[in-house]
Amino acid sequence: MKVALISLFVFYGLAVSGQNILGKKLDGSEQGKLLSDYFEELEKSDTVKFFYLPDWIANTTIEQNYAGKTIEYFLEDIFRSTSIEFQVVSDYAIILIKDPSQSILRDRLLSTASKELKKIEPIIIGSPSAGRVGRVTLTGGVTDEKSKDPLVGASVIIQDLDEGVTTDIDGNFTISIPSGQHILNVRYFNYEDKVYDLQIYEDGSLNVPLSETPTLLEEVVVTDKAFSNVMGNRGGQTTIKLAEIKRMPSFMGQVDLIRQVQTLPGVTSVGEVATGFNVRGGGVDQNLVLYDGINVFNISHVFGFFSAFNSDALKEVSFYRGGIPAEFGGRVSSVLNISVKEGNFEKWEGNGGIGIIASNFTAGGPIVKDKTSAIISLRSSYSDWLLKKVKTNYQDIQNSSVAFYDASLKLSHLISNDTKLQFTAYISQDKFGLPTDTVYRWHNRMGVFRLDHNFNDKLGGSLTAGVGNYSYTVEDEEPGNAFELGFGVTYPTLKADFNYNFGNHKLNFGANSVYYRYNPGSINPSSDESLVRPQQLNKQNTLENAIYFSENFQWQERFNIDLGVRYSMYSSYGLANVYVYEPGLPKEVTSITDTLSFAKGDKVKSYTGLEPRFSVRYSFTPEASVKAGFNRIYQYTHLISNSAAVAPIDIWQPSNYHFQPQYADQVSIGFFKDFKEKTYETFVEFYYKKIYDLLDFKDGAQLILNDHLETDLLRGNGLAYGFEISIVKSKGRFNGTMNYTYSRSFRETKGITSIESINNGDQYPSNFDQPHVFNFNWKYNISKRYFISSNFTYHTGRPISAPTTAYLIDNVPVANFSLRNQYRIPDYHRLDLAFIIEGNHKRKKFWDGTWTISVYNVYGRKNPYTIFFADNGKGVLRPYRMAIIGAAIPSVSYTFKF
Amino acid sequence: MKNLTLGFVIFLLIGSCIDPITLKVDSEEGAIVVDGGITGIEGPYVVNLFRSVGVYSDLEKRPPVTGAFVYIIDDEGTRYRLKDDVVGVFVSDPSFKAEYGKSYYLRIEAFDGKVYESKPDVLRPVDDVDSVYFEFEDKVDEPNSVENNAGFNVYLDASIESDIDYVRWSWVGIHEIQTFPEKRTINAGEAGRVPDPLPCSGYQMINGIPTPIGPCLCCSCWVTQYSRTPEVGDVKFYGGKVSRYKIAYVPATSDFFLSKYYIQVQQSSISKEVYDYWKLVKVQKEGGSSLFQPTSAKIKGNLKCINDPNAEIFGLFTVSTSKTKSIIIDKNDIPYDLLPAKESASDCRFYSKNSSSVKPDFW
Repeated sequence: MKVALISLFVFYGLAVSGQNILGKKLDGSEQGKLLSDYFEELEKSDTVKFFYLPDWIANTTIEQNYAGKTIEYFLEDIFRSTSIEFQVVSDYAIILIKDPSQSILRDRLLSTASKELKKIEPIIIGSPSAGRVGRVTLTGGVTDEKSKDPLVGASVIIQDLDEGVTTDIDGNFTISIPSGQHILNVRYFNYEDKVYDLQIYEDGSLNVPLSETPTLLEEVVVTDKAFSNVMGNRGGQTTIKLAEIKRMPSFMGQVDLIRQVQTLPGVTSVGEVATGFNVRGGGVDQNLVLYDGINVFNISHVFGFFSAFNSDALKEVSFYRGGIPAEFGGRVSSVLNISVKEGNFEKWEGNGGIGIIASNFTAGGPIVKDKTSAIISLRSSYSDWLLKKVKTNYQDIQNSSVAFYDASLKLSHLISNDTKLQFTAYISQDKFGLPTDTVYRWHNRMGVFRLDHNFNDKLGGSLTAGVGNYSYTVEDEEPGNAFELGFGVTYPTLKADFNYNFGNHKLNFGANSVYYRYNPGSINPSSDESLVRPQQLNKQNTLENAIYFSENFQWQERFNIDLGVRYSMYSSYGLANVYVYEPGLPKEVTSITDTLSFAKGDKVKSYTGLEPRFSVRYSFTPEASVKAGFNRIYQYTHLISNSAAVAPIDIWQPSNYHFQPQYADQVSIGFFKDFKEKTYETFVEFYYKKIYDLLDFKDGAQLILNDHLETDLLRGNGLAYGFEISIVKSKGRFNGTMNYTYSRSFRETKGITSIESINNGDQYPSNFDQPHVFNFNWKYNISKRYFISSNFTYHTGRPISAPTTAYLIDNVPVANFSLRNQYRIPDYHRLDLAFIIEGNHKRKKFWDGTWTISVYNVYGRKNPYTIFFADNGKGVLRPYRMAIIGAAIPSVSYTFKF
Repeated sequence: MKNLTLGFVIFLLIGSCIDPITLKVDSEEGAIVVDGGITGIEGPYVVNLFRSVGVYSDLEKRPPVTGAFVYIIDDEGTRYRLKDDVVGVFVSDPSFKAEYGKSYYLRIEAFDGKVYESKPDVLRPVDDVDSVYFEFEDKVDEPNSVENNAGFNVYLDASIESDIDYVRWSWVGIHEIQTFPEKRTINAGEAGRVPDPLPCSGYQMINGIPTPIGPCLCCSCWVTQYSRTPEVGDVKFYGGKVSRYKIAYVPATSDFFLSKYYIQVQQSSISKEVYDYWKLVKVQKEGGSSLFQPTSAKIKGNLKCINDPNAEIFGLFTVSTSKTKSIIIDKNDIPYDLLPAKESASDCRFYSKNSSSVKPDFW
C-alpha cells in the first residue's frame, strides 16, 4: 500500500495523459488467463509496463473475451466495482492505483474493534487464486446462540463500504459484496455485535450466532432496534423489550408486563384495581392475550395490582393495537402475543427475585445438550402467611387474605434441524378474602404442544394443540347464607399456521379452531344451615373456527403492502333451552312466548364473519414513512360487567340465539420518522373505529345466575376515535419514551322502547372514555451499574353517573341519578421512582444480583378509584371519594441471575 | 418485613382513603314524589306528595305539592278521593277500607294538567313474623376500651305461607333521652357564665338562683328512628322461610340506652315493581363503598305520566299489608356498664326531628 502511495506522489509530476497504449486493441487471447500472467505477456509484446502490487490482482482471472476492444475498455471493465483504478504515465506505464481509503478504513475498523475487545473472527470464503472479480453473494442466517431462534431484522453491514441489509422473518440474509477483504458487522438489539474480518472471493454462506449482551449500556457502538418503527410495515405494532421491563419502577418489587403495556400510546386503564387495559376506546374484554398460542382470560393477579405472567419466563411480547394481522382474530381491539422463553440448550442458568409481597424464580437449561431443553418459572406471594402471623387489634386484617401464585413450564425438543417440538404449561391461581367472610378464588390453567417444521427453504409451518381453563368461585361462610358460586370455561384449541416465501412475497395462511365449554354459573349451599337453594345454569358450548390468508409484498420499491383476509365461523350448541319473546315488545320475563329445546350437540345458532385486513407502508426514506391500515374483526364472546372496573367474577357470555357477535371496523393512518440515526423515533397515528352489536346492561340488571340474560342486556354500538403521539429515545445515557393520546369512546344503545334504551337512546361516554392520557417513562444511567428510572402517568378521570336530585320514600332517602356517565371523577396522575443497582457486569461471573429500591406514587396522591354517594346520616347523599392507594408505597427487591 | 407487609395491607384496606369530595352537579327542578299507599284492610291511608330537592339540599325542607286531585281507584272503577288537610299529606276517608283480592291504583291530576297513574296492584295478606330476637356482639378485643363499637344485632325468623312473592322488612326504633334544660348557662360578659334555665324546664330564676316552680316539659323525650336501608326478600329464593335474617343493628351506647330500646319490625307484602325498586335503592346505598360498585341506575317508581311521556315522577304507591312484631332491648342486656352520656342542657324536643315529649303507651 505504501508503495502505491509513493508511486502516486512520484509519478504525479510526470503524468502525461498519453492515451496511445490504452487504445491498443486486444485479440481475444486474453480470455481465461490470470490477469497477472496477461500483464506479463503484454509487457513482453508491447512497450508497456504495468505497476501494481501483486496481491491486488493475485486472484483475478480474465473471464470474458475482449476481442476488438481497447485496453482502456478492458481495464475499466475488469476493475469495475472494485477499488482499483489505473493511470497512464509517459505513454508506456500503466499504474494501477488502489483507493487507499478503503484499506485504511478497514485497518482502522479492525484496530478499533480489537480495542473494544470485540471478537473479530477471520473468515475466508473461497480461495484467492480461484476467485472472481466483481461482486459475489454472501447468504446466511443470524440466530440466537443459546436458543437457536432466528433473529428477525438483524443488521448485516459491510462496514468499510457502509452498505448493509437486514435479516428477514426467518433470520436469513442475502448480501452482495465486492470480492476482496472487508469488515462484516452483524448487529441485533440487546445482543453483542459480531465482527468478521472477511475475505470473500466467491459466493458463500455464513451462519452468525449472536449472544445476548449482559448489559444494555453500549456507549460506543450504535445498536439498532429489532423492529424499527419506521421500517416495520405495520402501524400500531410495538415489540416490548423485556429487559426494559426489568428496569422500570416496580410495584412492591414485582415488575409488570401489563403495567408496561398500560404505558404504551393508545392504552389506558380505569384505575388501580382494574384488571386488564383498554385499547383505543375498547373494553378490557376486547384484547386477545395469547400465551404461546392459547387464550388467557384473566391477565392480572389480585384485582389488577400484578399481572399474571412472570416476565422472567417471557421471550418476546408483541402488541398490536391497529393493523392486526389476519392470523389473529376473535377480539376486536388489540392483540398481546406472548412467547415463552425456551431453556438454554447449552448450559443451565436461571434468575429470580425477592420482594416484599412475592418472590419468583426461573431456571432453564439443557436436558440433552443441543437437543432438548426445559425451563421452569415460579412466582408466589406470601402475604397471606405473613398476615396470619401478625397479631393485631384490627381483626379485619387478620381475617382478610391476599394470595397468588403462578408457574410456567416449557420443554423444547429439536427433532431435527428442521423440526422442533415444544410443550408449554401454565397455571395461575388467586385468592382474595374480604373481612366480611367472602372469599374470591380464580385460576387460569393451560397446556399446549407445538410442532414447527420447515419443509424447505420457502415453506414452513407449525401445528399447535392445547387446552386452557379459566374459572372462579365465590364463597361465603356466614352460616345462614353459606354458598359457593362458580363459573368456568374450558377451551381446547387447535391451530395450523404456514408461511411461504417466494421472491419478495411472503404468504401466511392457516386455520384455527377453539371449542369453548362454558359453565355460566352454579350456586350451591355450603353448609347445613344455609338457606340458599342450589341452582345451575345450563352449560353453553360454542365452536369458533377461522381460516386466514395474507400476503406481504414489496411493490415499486417504496411500498410494502400487506393484504389479508380472515373468515371466521361460529356456532353455539345445545344442550340449551332458549326463551322466545314476543316480537316488538321489550324482552321481559313476562313476554316469553315459547321455549325452544335443543338436545346436546344440536346446533342452536351460527354466525360467520368475513374480516378483511389491509395495511400499507410507503417509505419516503429509510427514516420516514407513512402507514395506513384497515381491519374488521369479529368477536364472539362478551364480558358482562355492571361495575366500572371489571372484577374477576364478571361473566363471559358467548354469542348465542339472542346475542349477536360484536364486530369492529378500524382505519388508521400514521406518520413515522426517525431522527439522528434512530436516536429519536417518533410517530403520530390517527384512528377511527366503529364497533357494532356491543352489549350493555340495563339499569339495575341482575347479572349473576341469570338464566334469561337477554332480558337484562341491551344491544348498542360504539364509536372511538383519536390520535397518538409518541417519542422514543433509545440510545445514550438518558433514554425514555413519552407519549400523549387523545381518544374518545362513546356508546349508543337505542332500543324499541325507552326501557330498552340507555340515556333515551342518545350517545353517552363509555365507562373508559378518558380523553387525555400522557405517559413519560425514562431511565438514566448514572454509571455502568447505577440507574435511576421513573414513570409519570396522567389520565383524565373516567365518567360516572351522579345524582342530581333526592327525595324521601318511607323515611328512606333515595337519590335520583342523572343520565349515564355525564360527570367525571377527578383526574388520575402518579409518579413512581426507582433506583437500581446492578451487579458488576463481568461476563464470566457465576452469580449476578441487582437491587431495586422503588417508590410507587411518590407524592402520595389519593387517586380516586370511584366516587360513590352515601347518606351522611342526615338524609342527604353526599359524594365520597374512594382511593385505593392513598400514600406513597416504598419497596425493595433483589433480583439475581446465574 | 412483617411490618412492611402489614403496612402495605393497612394502606390497602384502611389507608385506602374514603373522604368527602365536592362534585358540581346540575340540579334538576323538583319533580313530584309519591310516598305512601294502602297498608292493609284498615284505613285511613296516607299518600305524601312532595317535590324532589337538589342533592345538597335539606331533605326535611322538601316543598309539598299543592292544587292536585288525588284518587285511589279500585278494579271496579270506584274512586276514593284523598284530601290534603295538611299540605302535601293526602289522607283517605276513614270509611274506605281496602279488601284482599281487589286491585287498586293511584291517580293524580296535577294543577298543570298532567295526569299520573300507578300500575294496579292486588292487595294480598301477609303472614306474621315468627319471632324477633337480638344478640349482643362485641366488636373489639378489649371490651372496656374507649372506642367501643359493640351493639345488638336484631334478627327475625319468618315463614311465608300465603301466596305472595315478595316481602319487605322495615323497623321503627324508639329510645328515651333525658336532657337538663335547667342547667343551661349563658355568657354574661364580665360575670362569666350565669345560669339561664329554659322556661320549659319548670325552673325560673328567683333571686339569682334557679328554682323549680313546675314540672319539666322538655326533659324526657322519646326519639323515633326509622330503618334507612331497605330490606326486601324474594320468597322463592329463600324457599319461603327465613331464619336469623339480620334486620337491624343498635349500637350499645348510652345515647340509645338510657333505660331500654324498643324496636318494632314490620313485614309487608309487596309487588314485583316495588321489590325491584327497593332492590335498586339497596344497591345504591350499599354498593357505594364496595370495590365493585355497580354503576348506579336511574330508579323508576311504579308511576308514570299518561298524557306527557317526558314528565318525570318518582316514588311508589304501594298496595300491601303489614304485620308487626316488637321487642324491647333492656339496658341490662349489655354485659358491662356504659359510660354515662354527656349531659345536654337543651330542649329534648329538638334533639332530632323525630323527638317528642309524648311518652308512648307501651313504655
